[in-house]
Formats: sequence, structure tokens, C-alpha cells
Amino acid sequence: MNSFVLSVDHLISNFTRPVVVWQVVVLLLALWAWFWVSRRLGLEGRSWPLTRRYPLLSQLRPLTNELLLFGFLILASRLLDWQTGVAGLAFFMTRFYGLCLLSRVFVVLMRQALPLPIVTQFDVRVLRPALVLFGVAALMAQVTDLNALINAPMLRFGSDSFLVSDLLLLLIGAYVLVAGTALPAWGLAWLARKLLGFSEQAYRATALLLRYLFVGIGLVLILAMVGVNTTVLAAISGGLSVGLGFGLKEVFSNFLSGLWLLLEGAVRPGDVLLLESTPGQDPEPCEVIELGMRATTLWRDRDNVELLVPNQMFFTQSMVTYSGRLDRLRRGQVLITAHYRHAPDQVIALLEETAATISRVLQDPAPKGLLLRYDA
Amino acid sequence: MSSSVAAGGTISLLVETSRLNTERERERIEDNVERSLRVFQRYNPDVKVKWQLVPSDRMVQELDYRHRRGLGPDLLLITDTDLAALGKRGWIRPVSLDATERQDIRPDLVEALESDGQMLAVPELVFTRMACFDRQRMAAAPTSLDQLIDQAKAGKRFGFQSRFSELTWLYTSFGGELFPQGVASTNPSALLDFLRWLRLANLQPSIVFEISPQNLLHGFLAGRYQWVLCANRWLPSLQDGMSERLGLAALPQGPAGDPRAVVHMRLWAFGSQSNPRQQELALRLALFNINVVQQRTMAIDQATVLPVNPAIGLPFKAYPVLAVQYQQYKRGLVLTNQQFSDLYALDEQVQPLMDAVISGSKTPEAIAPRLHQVLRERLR
Repeated sequence: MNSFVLSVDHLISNFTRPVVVWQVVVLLLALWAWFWVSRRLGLEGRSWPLTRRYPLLSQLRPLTNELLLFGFLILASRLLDWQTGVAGLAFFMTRFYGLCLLSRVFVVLMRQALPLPIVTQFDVRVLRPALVLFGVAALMAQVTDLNALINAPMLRFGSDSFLVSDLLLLLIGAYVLVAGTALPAWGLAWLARKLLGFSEQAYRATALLLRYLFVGIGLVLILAMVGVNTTVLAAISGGLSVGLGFGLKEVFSNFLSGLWLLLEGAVRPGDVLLLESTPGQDPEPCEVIELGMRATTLWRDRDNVELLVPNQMFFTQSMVTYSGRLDRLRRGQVLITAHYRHAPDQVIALLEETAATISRVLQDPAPKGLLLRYDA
Repeated sequence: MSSSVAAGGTISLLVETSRLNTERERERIEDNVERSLRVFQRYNPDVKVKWQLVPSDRMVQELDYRHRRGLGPDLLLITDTDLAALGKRGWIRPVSLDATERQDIRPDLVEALESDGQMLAVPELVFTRMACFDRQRMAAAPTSLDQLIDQAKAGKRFGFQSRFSELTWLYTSFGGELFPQGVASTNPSALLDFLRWLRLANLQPSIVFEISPQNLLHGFLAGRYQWVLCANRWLPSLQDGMSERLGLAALPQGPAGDPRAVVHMRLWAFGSQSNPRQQELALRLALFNINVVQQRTMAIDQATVLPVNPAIGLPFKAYPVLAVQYQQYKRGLVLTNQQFSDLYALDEQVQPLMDAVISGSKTPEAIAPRLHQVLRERLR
């Protein structure tokens, strides 16, 4: 770790060097020039040619100014290199900006082919952190021998010593597995649907199962690569399993319930369920949005909220679903009370007439009004 | 110079290692650098030194990479043969030393490294090529070239490098001048005698001329040679591999007397991109390493190199290798960085001529005038 701190310290002390300051100044000048030019040109607001023929072009239009900035940075770096021969850092920053820009284009392209939430999740959770991490590593590589730095010993447990690279692999690898496997899982599931003709529900279930599989295999591989002593690991996990059995019982129960639900297909995204969200009150219809590792996300129409329901609840409670296997037609009822001065026949006729005007109410069988009670 | 620093800072140091160094040698170099820095930091606790070993064949690439970014090292610990090349590229800057600081360096070394009143680098250690021999299979190293031929005839195996820059000691032992002063020029008869001896030596099956220093080193370690011309940087490997069997001796005399070996230096060179604070700290570190205490400790620890500080008395009786080094240094050739550059640049041009003589495809008489011409033009 000392080596890392020393490298950072050295990097900071080098930023006071005239040749380094000059590179930063030139890039700032390029930034200022870009700001001035982009405001005058207003490229983002202009219509692009061929956008009608190629709609993708209009998706890329918000990146116009960024592209212009990239051009300015390249120009400034080249001029500096031509004049002084010392522009490596300027080129590095320019290239890194170019890489970030390329990632934006990649995201735009992905949005054309994949579900928006998946792409957004991948972008925020994987792509952007990966770019930041890559940027930091690349910056460190400018001033230090990155290989030596990441291979420096960091921790020692008995006869095992762990390097900085091991720790990075554990942390980053685990994060990437959890956050970054959604997209490849979706991609493979999409391929499977195309090849095997899966239903929408089976497609979603396959994607989630694949993700669990990737995470599981990945974690085992990471531990093997780090060189964790399997005997020690087994002993620790044996000891912990008792504690986990009690402490994290609910978590495991929910996780297994989620897996079971997926395999069984009893609850699937898109289903409408009657859920008793508040004890003692009538159940309310909710739509299943997503089956998660621990909980299922439901959407309640009445107040437009999302409910996180632990997966095991679907095993412990009976559920009424409005979107079963046979068809998605269901009878709905609305309880109405009316004043004594209104004749029941008139009220029933009015209700039937009103119900018939609702677009998703069937004409056959026609909506029917019934008098349930007439008392004081 | 060993007083505490008022305010600290971080400097970077690149230490050149030979591409021939083994893992163990690199570890030893690391230990030496660490020990030296530890002592420096004891008196300068606020100064941090970020250092890295760089093999000689990667040095230019590494420096080019850093300089293009403005992140060149503040200090380099290099051998003298690199100095001119680094200076030409503008990667190092000369430093000014006052009279007191110059007193810590032998005057002949100051003279060799001085240019326009400034020092191109600060020398840390000096050393010369030596003769290494296997004590088990050779009772004593030959003290003259005639003895060497006699021992070769008796079956002892000798290994030489065939590059001219590594045979200058042999050339001078025939009366040859490398960089003749004033109106004097290279001596044609000395050159002819030198080439004739090379031919004679190669007629002995037990004398081998190797192009690659690596082959020579490994051959000696493997027992294929009983005597080789030895570079200082090989000594740790040889001491590890041969232990008590390793003998070190002065280079053999020629008809004109003792050979004049080229004196090599390990140098502190200063990066050209440092800010003023880094420049100050880099010079402080370099000068700290040439003070009397550090120099004596270094020379005795390594036992194969000489200090540059003239105020040090060394225990030659206890350290015979230091005595041999000192003897060769006193009569050796201290070259300026330009002369080093010229000498090593010469190898490429001269090598075909040397090979022609050694291999027997041309006579020494045919090659001597051509070689004389080249030396006269290139080593002025």
C-alpha cells in the first residue's frame, strides 16, 4: 500500500512541473475554445441530413458537442506535441475522453437492441464505474510500474499472502459479477428465445437463471484465481453456515423461493395478482414487474407505487391471479350504494349502461348489475 | 549535506540494471539501493524517493515514454556508457557544484564529467574490467600475454570478448593510444602487433573470442573457461556460482607494459524535467551518496568497486580485489562522455575488421591500415 501512496504522492508532486502544467493549460485552452465555438454553432439544435432515412443518426445528435470537443482536444495535443515534443499526458487525457465518448455511442447502439432498463443498469452500474477504474489505473500507469504496484503484497494470512491484485480481483470481480452479468444473461436468453421459441415468461426466467449461474461460477473462479486455501475456506464456511442458518435464514429462504417461482412459472412478470398489502383490508390488484433475487417488485395501479414483496410470501400465502394460464379474462365487481329515493331498477340500468361504455369491458357476456341488499 | 531538509518532497529515481542480471543480482541491487535510501531518509525524513529498476535494454524506451508525458525521472543511476546518449536526447541536465562539493570527487573524474563549468553527472563509484579465473583449475592468473599464450598451449581455456571496445586494454598493452593527445596519432605498429596477437591467440584452440558477453559469463560459470575478461556487474553472479573458486586478478601485461583499462563509472544523472524543488532534492541525494561515510561503506560492502571520494583510505590488505581495482584505476583511461560515446559507436564499424582478423579470413597486415584509418578518424 506504501507503494501506492508513494505513486500518488509522486503524481501530485509532478503536477507542479512546468512541462506538466503546460499540458494542462493547453487542454484548458482547448476546452475554452470548444465552449466558445459550440455556443456559436449550436450543433445539437441543428437538423442533421439523412436522419429520416437513418433514425439512429438522430439518437447520436446529443453527442455532437462531445465529438467537437474531442476534435479540439486532439488538435491541441497535436499542436503541443509538434511544438514541444512533450504532450503524452495531453494525449492520454484526450484518448481517455475519446474512450468515454465511444462508450456513449455504444450505449446509444445498445438502446436500439435491448430493453432500456437493462441498458441503463449496465451503463450506470458497469460501464461508468469501469471507465473510472480504467482511468485511474491508466493514470497510475503514466507514473509508475503498474505491474509492480498491483503485484505488491498487501495482506498475510498464515502462509498465504495476498497481493494488491488479489484484493482488486476480489472486489472488482465480485462487483462486476453482481452488477455486470445482467446484460450477457439477457443476451444469451434472447438468443435462446430466438432459437428455441421461449415464451416471454420463460425468456425472463432463463435470463435470471443464467445470471445466477454466472455469479455462482464467477465467484468460485475468482476465489480459485486468488488462491484462497480451500481447506481454510471450507472450515470458515462450515463455522459460518450455522450462524448464517439462523441469521440469514430469511434471505436464503427468499432466494430459494425466487428460484422456485422462476422454475415453476407460478408468478411471472406481467401477471396481475390480488395482494393483501395492508393486513385486514381487501386485497388489491398489482402487476408483477420483476422477480428479484430476494424480493418481487409489484406495481399497484391505485396509487402508482411499487411494492417489494419477499419471495417466500408467494409460498406462505394463497394468491388470486387475474392473469392465469387459460386466458386473461376476469370478472370484476364494483360495490355501489344508492339512496332510498332512487329506484333500484333505474340504478342497475344506469350502472350496466355505464359499464358497457368502458373499453375493456366485454359486450358478451354483458356487464350485469345485481341488487345485493335493500335494508334500513 | 547530511543535515535535515527544511521541507520535504517526492523524487523519482531510475536505477539501471544490466539485462544480463539474474533475479538474485537484481535482488542484491534492490537491497543496495534500499539500504542507501534508508540511510538518506534517516537524515532527510521528509524526502520520499520513488525508485524503480530498469534493465539497460529498456532504459531508452522507458525514458522516452516518461519524457513524452513530462514525467521524466528526477534522478538516474546509470553507467557512464549511457550518459552521452541521454544527454543528446535532452533527458538529463548538467548541475553546478561548488568547490567544497567538488572536493568529494577525484579530480580526474571531475575533469572527465565537466562541461562548460558544470558537471554532466555526479560519479558514485568507479571500476575497471578485471581478469576472472577458476582457482581450482588455474593456480594463478597469467600476469603477461606471453604467459597467457603458454597456459593456453598447456590446455587452459581462455575467453575474450571480440568487441574492440572490450579489448582496448589489450591494444594499449601493445603501446596503442586510444585518444591521442595533441599531434600524436594512433600508433600503426602497435595496432599491427595487437592484430597479430589476436590472430596468434585465435590459433590456440583453447582461446575463444565470443561476441556475446552472456556466452562468456555462462561459459565461465559452466566451467568451459578457466579465465575470462570480466565485467564488474558479473561479479555477484560469479561469487554466487563459484564461491571460493572465483579468483580475481589484474589484466595481463603486454610488450609495452601494463594495460590501460577503461575506467567505468556509475553515475548519478539528473532529469531535465524536474521542478526546482525536485532538482534540489535530487542533487541532495546524489551528494549524500558521495560523502566519506557512505562511500566507504559502499566500497567495503560491495568490495569490487572503488569510491570516487579521494579522502577515503581503503583497507587493501583485507580486500585484495579493491587493491587490484585501485591499481588498474590508477593507470587506467578515464574517458569523457563524448569519448565513451565515440568508442562504443566505433564497435559497429570496426567489428567486421576485427572478425576478419580473428577468423583468419584476412591477414593482420591487410586489416591494420584500414583499422588505423578508422581509429584515426573516429577516436580523435
